[in-house]
Amino acid sequence: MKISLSGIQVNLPDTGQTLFRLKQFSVDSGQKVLLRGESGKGKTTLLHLIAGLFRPATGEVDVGGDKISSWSDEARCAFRRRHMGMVFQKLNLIEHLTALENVGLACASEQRAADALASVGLEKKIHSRSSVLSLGEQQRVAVARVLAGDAQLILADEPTSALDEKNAANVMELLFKAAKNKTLLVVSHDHRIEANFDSNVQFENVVQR
Amino acid sequence: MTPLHLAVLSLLRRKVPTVITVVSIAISVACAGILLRLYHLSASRFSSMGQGWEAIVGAKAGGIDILLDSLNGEGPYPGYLPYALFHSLKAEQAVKFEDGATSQPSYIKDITPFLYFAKAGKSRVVGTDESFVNPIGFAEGQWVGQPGEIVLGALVARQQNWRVGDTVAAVPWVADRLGDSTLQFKVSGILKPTSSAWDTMLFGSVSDAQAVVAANRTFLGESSIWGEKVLNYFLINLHPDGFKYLEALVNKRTVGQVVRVEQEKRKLENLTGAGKSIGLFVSIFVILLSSLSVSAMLITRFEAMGVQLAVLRAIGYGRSEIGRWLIWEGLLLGVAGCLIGASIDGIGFPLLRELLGSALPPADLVASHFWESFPIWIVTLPTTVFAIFVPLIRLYRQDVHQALKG
Repeated sequence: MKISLSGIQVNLPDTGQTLFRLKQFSVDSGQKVLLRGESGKGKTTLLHLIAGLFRPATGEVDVGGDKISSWSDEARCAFRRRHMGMVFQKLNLIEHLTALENVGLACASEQRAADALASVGLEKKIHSRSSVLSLGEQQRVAVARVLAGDAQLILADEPTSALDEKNAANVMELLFKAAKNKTLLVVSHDHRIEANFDSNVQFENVVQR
Repeated sequence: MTPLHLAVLSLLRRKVPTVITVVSIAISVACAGILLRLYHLSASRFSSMGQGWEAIVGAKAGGIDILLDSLNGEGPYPGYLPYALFHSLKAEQAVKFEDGATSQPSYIKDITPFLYFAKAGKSRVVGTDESFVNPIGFAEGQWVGQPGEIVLGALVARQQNWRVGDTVAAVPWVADRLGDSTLQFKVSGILKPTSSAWDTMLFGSVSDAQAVVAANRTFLGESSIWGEKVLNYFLINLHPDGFKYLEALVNKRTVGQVVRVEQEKRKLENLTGAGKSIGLFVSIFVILLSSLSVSAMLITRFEAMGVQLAVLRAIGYGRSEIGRWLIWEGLLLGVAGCLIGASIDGIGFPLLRELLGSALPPADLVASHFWESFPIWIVTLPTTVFAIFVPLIRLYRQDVHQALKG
């Protein structure tokens, strides 16, 4: 699933000041791209823009040939459900639900959710509440949710920044496994995960202030 | 995962707040249901009042007290009137007063004596005469012919399964004191049902009643200067315009007080009408409080879940789906609260009625059905669903991007 952004301007919601401008940015279908940069510069905002969580002040967001930036909130929501998987830095899960139920949010089949959890090594914790799982385990559940949903585009926002080295490596391995033959865009300032990406893009090089 | 499934899991996994909310709804439903049933009961209490008389003469007291005590069998033991006054009025004899004035009571159509003198279980036993029972008519048997005979109200006979010829035990009831001795009466007749307080009473002759008063003279104390020659009430029907003459005679020149039945009923309706309106208002207020409590609980719950709801939206759950989750939660809380509240109502109301005793019409006479609380349940469900209105607005205004950025 190809991503293409053009003529984008993003403003801060409270002041209306321009956060960044972006003339052109694209990720080809099946590519694994790491978007690096310092914290607080707008990487997460760009990821959310691609996910359709908000609309830019100007410009066009095209995902898989669909210009989602012109769509309604609910249409973008439905699009995310069908085509995208998302992993966040933390607080990925609904805390009163079990690991199985959290993964089940992305698919209708319980067996498929259980298989996805097994593939990330959490087959013994499928009935554990997410609130009792470690941060590393929570990230693996989030990856399992992406696996179960069969998304064509996987967006991950600082998926390893709260994890130790071993867990970070483990989560990245699982993310690459989940993203086989799919497009993966990871936003991170974590230098430990730079290997294996098709392309490492410095955020500051693609945006203008 | 469906919105209903999400709602069920959300409620079951957060047991403490769920239980607190359900209990608060249940208590509100129970209280409002009981208040509504009391409201219905006070509206129907007039239907159980004895019918057939235009005026009542009783010892000086409040008009409503006289009305309820005589025609509804409610309240404490009433004061006494001299039997001689009754006799003069009945015989249309001139009533002579100490100042030399006389009154010729030709305006009275019918007059009936009425004297409480015993209790058979919870039922009052009244001394009266045939002028009382004849308009009602007999289902079985006849009016008392011998001393020690008694006539039963229809409900008493049915409840106790007493028949003509059976012996009925009672205890003397004189000047608000119950005696230690046991009185034995033989049933001579059973009255036709009247759907009024008369069905709950027993009726003997005035002479038997006065004999019981005489036998328990020590109970009288200062309540009677006429010894046992007393009555509690005279039940009267009048010729046209007769009331003003009776009122002038009784109220101004005797220890008695005459009240016009219809007038006192209207007063009572006006008085209890205000109480009923307050009861209805309180019912609505209680339900409103309950909905606010549910709303507060849901707001707190979903405020705390702000980021998690944003995650749900990010993985593709639309506002409508999350909104339906909220609505299901409100509905399930309402249903659970209603079921428990209705059970408390069902069990608690009869106990409350028992506790209030004679302040309410007897349950056998004026039934209050569990289903009378139905409007409260109907109101509670949309109200609890309406309680999720604020969380819904917050959901619709949520900026997912900002929520996820924290």
